[in-house]
Amino acid sequence: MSYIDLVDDTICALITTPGLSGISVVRVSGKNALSISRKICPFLKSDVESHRVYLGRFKTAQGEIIDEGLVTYFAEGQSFTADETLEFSLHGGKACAEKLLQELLSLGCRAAERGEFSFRAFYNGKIDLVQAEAIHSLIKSRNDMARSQAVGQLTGVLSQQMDKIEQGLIHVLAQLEASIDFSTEDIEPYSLDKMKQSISEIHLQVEQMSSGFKKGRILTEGLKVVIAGAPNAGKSSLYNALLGQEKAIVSAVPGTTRDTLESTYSETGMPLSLIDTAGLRDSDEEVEKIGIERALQRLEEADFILFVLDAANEDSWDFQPVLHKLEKTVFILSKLDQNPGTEEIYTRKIAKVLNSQPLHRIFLTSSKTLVGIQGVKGFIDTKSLVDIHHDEALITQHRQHSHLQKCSNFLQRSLDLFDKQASYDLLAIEIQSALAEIFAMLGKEFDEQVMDHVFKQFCIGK
Amino acid sequence: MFLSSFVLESKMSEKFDMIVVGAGHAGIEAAMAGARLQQNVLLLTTRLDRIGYMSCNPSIGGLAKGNIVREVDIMGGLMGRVTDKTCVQFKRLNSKKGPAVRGSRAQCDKDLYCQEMRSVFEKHRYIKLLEGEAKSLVLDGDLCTGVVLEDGSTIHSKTVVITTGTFMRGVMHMGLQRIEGGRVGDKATVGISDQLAENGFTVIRLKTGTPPRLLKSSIDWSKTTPQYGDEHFYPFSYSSPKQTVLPQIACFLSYTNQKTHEIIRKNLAFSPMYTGQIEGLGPRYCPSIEDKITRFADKENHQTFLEPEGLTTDSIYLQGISTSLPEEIQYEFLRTIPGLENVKMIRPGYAVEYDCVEPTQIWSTLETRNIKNLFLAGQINGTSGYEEAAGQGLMAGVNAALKCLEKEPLILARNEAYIGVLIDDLVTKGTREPYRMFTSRAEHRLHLREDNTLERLFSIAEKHNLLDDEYRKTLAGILERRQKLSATLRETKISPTEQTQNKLKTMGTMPLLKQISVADLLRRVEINFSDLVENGLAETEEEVVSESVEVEIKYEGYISRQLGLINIAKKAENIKIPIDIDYSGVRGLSREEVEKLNRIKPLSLGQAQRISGVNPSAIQAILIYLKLHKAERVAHGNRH
Repeated sequence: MSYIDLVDDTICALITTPGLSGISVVRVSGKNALSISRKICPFLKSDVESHRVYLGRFKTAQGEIIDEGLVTYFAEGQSFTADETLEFSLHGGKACAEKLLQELLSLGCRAAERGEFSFRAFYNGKIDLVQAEAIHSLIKSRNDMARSQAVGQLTGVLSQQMDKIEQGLIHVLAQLEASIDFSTEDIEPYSLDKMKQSISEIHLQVEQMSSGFKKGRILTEGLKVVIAGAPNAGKSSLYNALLGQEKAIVSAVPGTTRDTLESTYSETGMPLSLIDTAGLRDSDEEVEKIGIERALQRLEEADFILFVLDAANEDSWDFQPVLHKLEKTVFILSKLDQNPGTEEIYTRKIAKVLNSQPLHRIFLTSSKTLVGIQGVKGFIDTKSLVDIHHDEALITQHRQHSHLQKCSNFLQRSLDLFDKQASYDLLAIEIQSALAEIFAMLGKEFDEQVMDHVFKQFCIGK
Repeated sequence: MFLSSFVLESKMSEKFDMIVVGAGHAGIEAAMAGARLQQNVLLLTTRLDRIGYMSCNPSIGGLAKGNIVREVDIMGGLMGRVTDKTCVQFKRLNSKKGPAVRGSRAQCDKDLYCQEMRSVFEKHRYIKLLEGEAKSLVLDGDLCTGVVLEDGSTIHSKTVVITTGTFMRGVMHMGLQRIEGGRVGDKATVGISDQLAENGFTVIRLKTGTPPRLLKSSIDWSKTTPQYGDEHFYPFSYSSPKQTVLPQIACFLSYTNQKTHEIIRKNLAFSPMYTGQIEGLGPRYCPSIEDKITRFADKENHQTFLEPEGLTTDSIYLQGISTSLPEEIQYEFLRTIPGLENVKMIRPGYAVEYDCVEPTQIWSTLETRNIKNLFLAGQINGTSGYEEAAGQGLMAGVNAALKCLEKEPLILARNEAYIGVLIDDLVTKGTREPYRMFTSRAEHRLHLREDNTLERLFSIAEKHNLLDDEYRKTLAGILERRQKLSATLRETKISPTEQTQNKLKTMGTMPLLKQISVADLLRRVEINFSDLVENGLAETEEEVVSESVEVEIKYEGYISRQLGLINIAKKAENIKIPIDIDYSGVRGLSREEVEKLNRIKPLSLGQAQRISGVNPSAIQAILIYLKLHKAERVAHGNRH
């Protein structure tokens, strides 16, 4: 069942972090919010005012005192969700809040689902889709920069930039339509050249925004660092050494790691995912094969790859898996304790196999003696720092990125059409398609599935 | 005279299935459609000599409008075939801008057009013509059962179609002079619009205008530039000969200048538009010359076409110079235009104000919501243009006849025809200015082409028996040949042999990498069907067969993309909304949205989406309501 089937329910949830905190806040929202709350707050006068705080004792139906605290009333249309809302501030700790929630449920409230408050704000027209997603990012954000990005989106910086793209496309489309429908009249719409120029400019804006996704994603989801290499190259040892814990099982048997392992940590305040993968080799063994497929998948998604090479076993070097990903690959020479050498020697050896210039970044390490591990760590940390201007609004959602990319493709296709005797009717459909992507991104189009997908990501209570 | 008296004698005793009030472009098609469905039709007009009269410009068709004419033709209508027969200049507009935005336009001999139309009706076994004016409708509760004539006599019928154009409380303005009437030489009809208002209809006032008609012999043609039509004729109807019947003529281009504009500007005080004498809203896309020089003050000149209204007439239509200034001022500014220095007017330009019914008060069948068995079509629904009128007339006629036959109504979808777009726009969005069709109003434009009208509508016309047997056979034959050609092009394969590669080289296209079909080759931008024929890759075929096949193959990729969009739209279109919803009970709607939705009562979520001022969040709200509503109904049903 989708949220929109349930907007007549009155919902409630704890909206502060559960656990030990100074105060807890419980929100009740929906058409019966006030009448239900009155049963708990007998002290509320008949003429409660919106945005006013009332002090009193919260009681159960049996007259038992739950807590003494504050309750704030938000009238319909004036709350976050736009539905009638009350927020209870109670003493911290689990007991009071749970008691209150139980009482609310017994009075006919329903526990809010993930993201349901935000859904209602969107549904009631208080926020647009991009802002709704920003709230989601804000809740998830693990660092200051991500938070400021989310705030930027929430205040609509991103929406404003999208608006500009939307308006630009509508303008071009209007010019195009005018030169179709009014070609026999005395008017002068854009020339084809001018139209092409306008589309190029919009295309560039879309591309810029789309490319910002990489930064935006690193901010909210963290940098994805994937450790890969041949079996028994020492990937899991490196993984453990970088994490400073024995997370992965290490053995001398090739193929010990069968599935991918993932750990998130933060040294710099920026989130980072470190991923260990199964050794890459031809295998007939069913389970190992699945592990290898997953490893290859991880390589595609990686922001960068630590490709581990056994310094003691040059015969095992196989660069095939990273051949087309060299720009995001760093080579880690492992087991240096067994086969010492200099950085220069190994750089040249790798270049020789790759048949290229010796320009690749390499680190000489030993997970046993921890030589070189700090260097790798420092390198990852610098990579995880993203340089962002304070007025830059980055897209942080895959959904947004996918629409922008499609929009960009349609615009590219329309530019191609200009090069081969543009037919106006076809040009129009490319631009309409591009515009449809922007509409979809902004949630201006009706699509129940998209809505549900977006709101399922939300955290309860926000 | 003989004819009308014949009908008058029998009218009291006879009961008709349909009465069509008005014999303009809408009335003609309504009557014809009724007759095709073997209904007895009375066609009532105030003037028998003006059946299908072109009150304004002497052309039929144009961008998007040409598509409508072809749609009307496939659905058994008359406009296309009579236009072909009386065409004196033909042009395919936007010919280089893509097949989906092309439009055929034919200038016609106005008098011959009327004669042709009249001759169709005079000999028709199901249609009776009557000269007279309908003063009011016969109402039995909310049911319309006939009309009352000027002489007080009553004629009964099962259904009534009103197509009165600009005649309902029509007022003509020229300078500060006001004359009652819908058109020069014709009186206005009064009574019906008051009666509609009394029965709860919102009646709105619209305005339109027409330019002066000039005396041919008073024009110095040497100062104008002749404009000829196309060599190639694409008849509107597949029943017409491949060549035009009448001799082809030119029209002539001239321009206004600063002097012209100065005179008009100086005399704006005498233009009823500017004195506030006219309240009705005029069309933005067809501004008067007063409007043009006021709104586009920077423009140094405006073009005007001098279009002969026929082969033998002395009357020249001055396209682009619609005006309602006093006659003497019209003379003053006209004589500043090159070629018109000594011009004489046969008739000055004037503006017409008229009543129409706010079209959201009618169903998609064109039956009114307030009064059953009453259908409205044409300008009375707020449209402008002969073609828009014809399309509505046809559908009103078909649906009135189907109602008489107690059959399901016929509603064309937005992805089937421009006529579908037209009617859906009117009944959902309404209009505040005279509505004209544009290609951009059709979201399924790539599919709604002139060349594939047959593919789009033939099966519908056939199913509803709208075609006479001869034409049905002609159309079925063309369609079959097209399907055969299409199949052959797709099935014939060519391989990268040396001979083929050499041939492709001479055709100026890339060699083959692997075996492909001839259709694949045709998809290349630089290849067209005639190249295939010349190089022995396809057999020669008439253009009437090959053109649509070629466009279909070349546009396939785009069309399937658009069909994808159509399907997304259909998703919302398929969610039906019951008529009995009270929107004030739907949570989350603004007051304005409730008011609009309650008034229009959309039949589907898609239709609701298109109502202006109804926001996406409202659509969500309606969907929720529908789900709850449905759940309630099911629960209710289970109890019984």
